[in-house]
Amino acid sequence: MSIAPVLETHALTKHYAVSSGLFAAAGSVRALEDVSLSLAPGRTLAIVGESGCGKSTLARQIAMLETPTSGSVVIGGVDATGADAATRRALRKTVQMVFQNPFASLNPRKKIGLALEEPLAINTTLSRAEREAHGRAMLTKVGLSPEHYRRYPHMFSGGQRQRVAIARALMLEPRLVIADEPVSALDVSIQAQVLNLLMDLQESTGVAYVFISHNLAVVELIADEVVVMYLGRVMERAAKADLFAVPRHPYTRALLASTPRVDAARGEAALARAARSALSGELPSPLAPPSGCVFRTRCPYAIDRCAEVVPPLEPTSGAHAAACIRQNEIG
Amino acid sequence: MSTATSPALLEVERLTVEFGAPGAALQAASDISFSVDAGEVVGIVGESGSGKSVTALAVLGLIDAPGRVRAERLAFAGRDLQSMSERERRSLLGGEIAMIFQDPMTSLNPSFTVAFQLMETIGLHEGGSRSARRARALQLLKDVEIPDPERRLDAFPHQLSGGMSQRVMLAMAIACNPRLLIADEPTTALDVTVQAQMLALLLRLQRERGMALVLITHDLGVVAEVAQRVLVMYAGQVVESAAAADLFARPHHPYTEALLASLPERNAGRRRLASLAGVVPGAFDRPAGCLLSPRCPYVRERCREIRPPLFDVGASRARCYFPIGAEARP
Repeated sequence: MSIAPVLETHALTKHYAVSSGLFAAAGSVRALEDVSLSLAPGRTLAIVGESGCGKSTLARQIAMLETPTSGSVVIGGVDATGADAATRRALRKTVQMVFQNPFASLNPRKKIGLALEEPLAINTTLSRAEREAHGRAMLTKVGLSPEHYRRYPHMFSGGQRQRVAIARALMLEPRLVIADEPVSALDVSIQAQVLNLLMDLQESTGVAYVFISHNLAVVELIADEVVVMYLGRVMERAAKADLFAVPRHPYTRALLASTPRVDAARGEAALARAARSALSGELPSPLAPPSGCVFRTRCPYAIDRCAEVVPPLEPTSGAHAAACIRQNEIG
Repeated sequence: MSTATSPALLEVERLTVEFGAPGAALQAASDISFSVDAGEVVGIVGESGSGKSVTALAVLGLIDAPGRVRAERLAFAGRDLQSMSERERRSLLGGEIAMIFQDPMTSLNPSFTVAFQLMETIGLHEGGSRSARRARALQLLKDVEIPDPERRLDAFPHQLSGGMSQRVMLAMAIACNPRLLIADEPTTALDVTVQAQMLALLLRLQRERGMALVLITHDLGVVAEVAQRVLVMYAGQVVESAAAADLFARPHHPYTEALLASLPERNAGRRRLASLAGVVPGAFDRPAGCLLSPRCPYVRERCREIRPPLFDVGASRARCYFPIGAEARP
C-alpha cells in the first residue's frame, strides 16, 4: 500500500500492576501483549473478541489515554509514545472516541450544544458564534436537527444520544475515530440506523475507524479488516472477506460457530452445532495466562507442543495471518 | 395453539399491566394472550420497552403496587393464579415455576456461599437434612456442568465468573424440578462462546426434564436457534405469534419484517442496512391507531385510526390489517 497508514502499532504491550492484598506480592495483569497492526486512511479496522481480550485496553493506548508498557503507537507517521507533550496534544485532536454507553458518556448537566462546542473551545480559536454554527451543522450531519442544540441528554433516546456522541467525536475533524462497542447498547432497529450513519460519515469525511465489537455480524458488515484478539494477544488478522470465508484460527472458528443466527439450524441442530464448536471452559485469568498459546486451555485442537511455544502470527497468504502452530493441519 | 384435549401448562388471556394514576396510566403490556404447553420452548422477543419482562413478572405475580395486573385468564396447570391466595402463589415460585434473570451478579446474594443459597432453596420447598441438602446442591452443580463442583460449593458469588454465576442461578432454578422455567435475557450478559454453552445447557435440561421454557430475549438469533414458537412484542403488545420456522422464513407483521431486515446477517453484500425510521413511541406519545403506524412503510388510513386486533394469518397470528403475504383484509 502506497498511502501512509493513519495508525500503526508496533509490538504494543500493556501490563497493569495489581496487588491481591496488603501483604501479597504485586503481580501484573497482561492486558495487551505484542499487538502490531496498521490502518489505512478512510478504512475500518474491526477489533473482535470477548470480555478480557484486551480490546478496550488497546483503544486506550491508541487514544493516548495511557502510556503503553512497551511498543509504540504511530499516528499519521508520528510516534506518539515517545513524543513530547505538545506533539501528543496535537495528535490527540486527530484521534477521537465514541463509547459504548451513550447514557454514561454524555454529561447530564450539559446541554448537548455545549458538549459539541467544548472540543472547539479547547482546541481552536473560533468565536462562540462560529463554534455554534459548526455544532448545529454537525447535528444535521448525524441526522438530528439543529433545534436539538439546546436540549439536555435526558431528552434523547439511546440511539439519538449515540448520534450526539458521534457528532462530538467528529467536531475536530479527526482522521481516526475509535468506536468502542458503539452499537452494543442499542436495539437492533436503532443499531441499523447508527451503523448506516457511521458508514455514511466515513464516506463523506474520509475518517478511519477502529471499530471494537464482540458482534461478528456487525463486523462483517462494517469492517474492511479484522483483528481477532484473545487474552491480550492477536489470534488472527485478515481482510474481512478472507476471515469470514476461511477462518484459520480455532478461536475465530469457535466465535463464528457460537454466534447465533436467525437463518441457522434450530433446536437439536443448534445443540449439535454448539457441541461441534466445542469451546469448553472460560477465559483463564490474565494474571496467570497459560504458557505457550494462551488459547490452548479451551482449544479443541490443542497438543502438547502448544504449551511450549508462543505461536507467532504467521501470514498464510498475503495479509491473512493466524497465531496457531496447527493452522495448516486443521485446515 | 394448545390442543383441545389437555389444557396448556400456562394460559394467559388478555393480560394487561398498568402503571401510574388510573386516569393517565401507561399500559406497559396490553392485551397479551398466549399459552405454553408442557415441554414447549416459547421465545418472547422485542426491543427495550416492548413489555416482555413486565409480561413475565405479571405471570409470576411479581408486579407490586402501584402496578396493576388484569387478565381474563391467568392459569398454571389449570389452576387460576388470580384467585389463588398469596401464600399458594408464593409456593409455586421457585417450585413448579422458576425464573432466571439477566444479570447473575446481582441475582445472587454476595454475602452467602453458593451452597448456602442452593440449600436454602431446597430447604424451603423440600426440606431434608443438612447433609442431604448439601448432597442435592452438589448434584445440581454437576447437572449445570460447573467444573470442579465440590470446590465451587463453598465459593462466594464474587469468586465466580459471569457464566459460572448464571449456571448457579440455573441450578437454583431447577432445584425443585420446575414444570415451567422463565428465563429473562439469560445470556445477554455473557460472552458469545459462553452464551453458546449456556443455551446448549438450557436446551438439554429442558429436554431431559420435559420442562417448558419461556425465553425472553432481544436477540433474534438466540430465539431462532432455541424456540419452537415465538411471540414478537412491540410497545407493550404482541404483534405477531408464529412457529419459529415460519416467523423467520415468512414474517407477516411489518415490524417483524423490519426487525429481520435490519439484521446485519440479512444484509450481506449490501452497502447499507435496511432500517426502520423513527423510534418506539414513548409512554405518552402512543398513536391512536396501530402502534407501528408512524414507522410502518405500508401504513394506510385505517391503520392510523383504529388499533388492530390480532388476526389469524395462516397458522400464525399478526396484529395488522394488511399482513404481509396474506390476502388484503376487507
